[in-house]
Amino acid sequence: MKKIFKILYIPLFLLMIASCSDVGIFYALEIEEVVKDKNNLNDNTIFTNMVDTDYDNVASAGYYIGNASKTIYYRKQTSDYSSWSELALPSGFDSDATNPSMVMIDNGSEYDLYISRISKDGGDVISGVYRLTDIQTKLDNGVSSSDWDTMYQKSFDDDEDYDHYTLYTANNLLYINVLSNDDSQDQEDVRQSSKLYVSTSSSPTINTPFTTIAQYSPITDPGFTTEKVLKIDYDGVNYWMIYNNTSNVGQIWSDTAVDFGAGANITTTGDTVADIYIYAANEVIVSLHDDGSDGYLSETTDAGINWSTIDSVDCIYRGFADINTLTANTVIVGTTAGEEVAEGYYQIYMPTPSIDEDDNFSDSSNYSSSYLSDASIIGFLMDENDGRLFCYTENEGVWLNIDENWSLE
Amino acid sequence: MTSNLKLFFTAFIFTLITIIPAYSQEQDEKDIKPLKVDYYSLGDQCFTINVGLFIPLFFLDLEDQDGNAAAAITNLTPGGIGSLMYEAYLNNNIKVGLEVGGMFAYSPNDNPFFMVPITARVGYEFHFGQFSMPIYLGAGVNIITYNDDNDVQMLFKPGISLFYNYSSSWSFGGNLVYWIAPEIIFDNPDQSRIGNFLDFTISAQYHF
Repeated sequence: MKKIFKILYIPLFLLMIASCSDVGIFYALEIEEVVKDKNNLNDNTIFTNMVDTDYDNVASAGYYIGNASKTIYYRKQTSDYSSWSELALPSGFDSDATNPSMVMIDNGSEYDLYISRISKDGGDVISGVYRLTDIQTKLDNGVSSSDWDTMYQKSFDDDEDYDHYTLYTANNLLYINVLSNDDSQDQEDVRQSSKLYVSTSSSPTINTPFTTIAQYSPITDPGFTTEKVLKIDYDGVNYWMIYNNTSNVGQIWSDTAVDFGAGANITTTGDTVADIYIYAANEVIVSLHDDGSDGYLSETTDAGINWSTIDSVDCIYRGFADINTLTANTVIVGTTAGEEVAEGYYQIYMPTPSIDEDDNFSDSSNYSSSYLSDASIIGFLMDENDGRLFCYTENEGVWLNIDENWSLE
Repeated sequence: MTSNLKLFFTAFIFTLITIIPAYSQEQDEKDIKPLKVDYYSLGDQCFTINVGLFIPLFFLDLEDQDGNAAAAITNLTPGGIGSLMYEAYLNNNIKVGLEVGGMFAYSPNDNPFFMVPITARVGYEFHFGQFSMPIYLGAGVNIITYNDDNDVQMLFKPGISLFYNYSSSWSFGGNLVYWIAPEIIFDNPDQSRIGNFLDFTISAQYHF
């Protein structure tokens, strides 16, 4: 009989350690509504970035382009839910080819699209940078593989260290981070060297074959030897560059010179840097975190001389967009999982940055019913002319917000 | 005494000898009460496995915006449920036990919803020939999981069953159980709800 009653200790013990949750699960179910999948992208599609080709700021005139690494998708802006198509890419690559980065640069009359591309199938590596000029006109007329210009391309033998290119754009200039990877490791983060170049022209000419990178000035002292650049941007006065050193400590560079010369201001943070956002001239926000947790935002208004903390979160802030046309004076910032789970997005009220966690421009039931509320967000694309906000995530696909409601692309 | 008279007295005495004991036995039988046989006694135990249908009913908000109690649909689909139970008899009618189970259902966006109830139970069992009908009340904890959220709350489960005692070892039957599942959110009291659910299961019970 005693043994029988001892069994009753089990539920009592569980109740004692019961987690008094701060989230009402029954409440969440009660308000849940169907979140619709309104377009033809696979639910698991991961965009690393998106661009808007609309050059003249005319509503519904351009294309949205999303880089899904192995595939680049595009769709027209003529309707809210026009279908996505696959963009024809440079040929001559194996089936495992990926496009690590994509940027768009103004050529004076339209945008040119630049991508880096690499394949490593079968041991031999082909790696290069390619350009599609007048992207909007090309998409209107249909793109084929032969429309791509080879900026430069290099082949590496099976046992040779190979180059991996990452592209950035700031003030309409093209930056190329050339990472030499250790083939024996075959990992992008095990590098022999890292070199940074900046184009001397907004429309560099083609040089094939390449042994040196013409019309690109090497940045001779970027402050790193093997680290990968995270982002480069321009606030109208200063160029900004962020990366993490070999000890994973964030470095924030700012300089009026395009090549981050001797006069660069260098901020060595105590934590790891994740992202940077230029809100206005001399108003720069940086996202940092402590080894995957305790993320926070810092702001500087004097080119990095002084910094002040805006807000903090358990995970990591990443991805910014100005959504002033949706809700006044607001920048949206995403979160991504580190040691803690992601928390969707928050809104930063500008110009004196502050975050109220309850602020949400979208319908609360729709947002909580979508997977966005705990998605790891990579970034946003705001189409101000058409009132469309895209959100692309690591684990929950690509989302579109129209009239305060999110749907899956 | 003539031979006929002797014969008469002999027959009369023989008759008395046979009738009187029979009459006495009938009287004894009227004084003997029927013997009552208990099905179970202290120390008898049983294991039961239950499987069946889980039916979400409604969420009760004890105090909505107007201060009134309000019921709302759960938005859940009907689901499935299963459990294992151990019981021990205190006497022929009263038994106590422990039940561990699990259920699943789906939300409007096809997200799975799970609950794992762990309850202690006390019941009173009626016996009608080869049938048994226990009524019982279970109380314990309910582990709730939905997407990445988890919670542990109290749970109460009153119910009724009907079993056919197939043999001394096996019984088969069905159960109807009502779930009263409060979810109290101290940080956000507005989100507190009482979940009301129903499950209907069939059972196989082994006695030992």
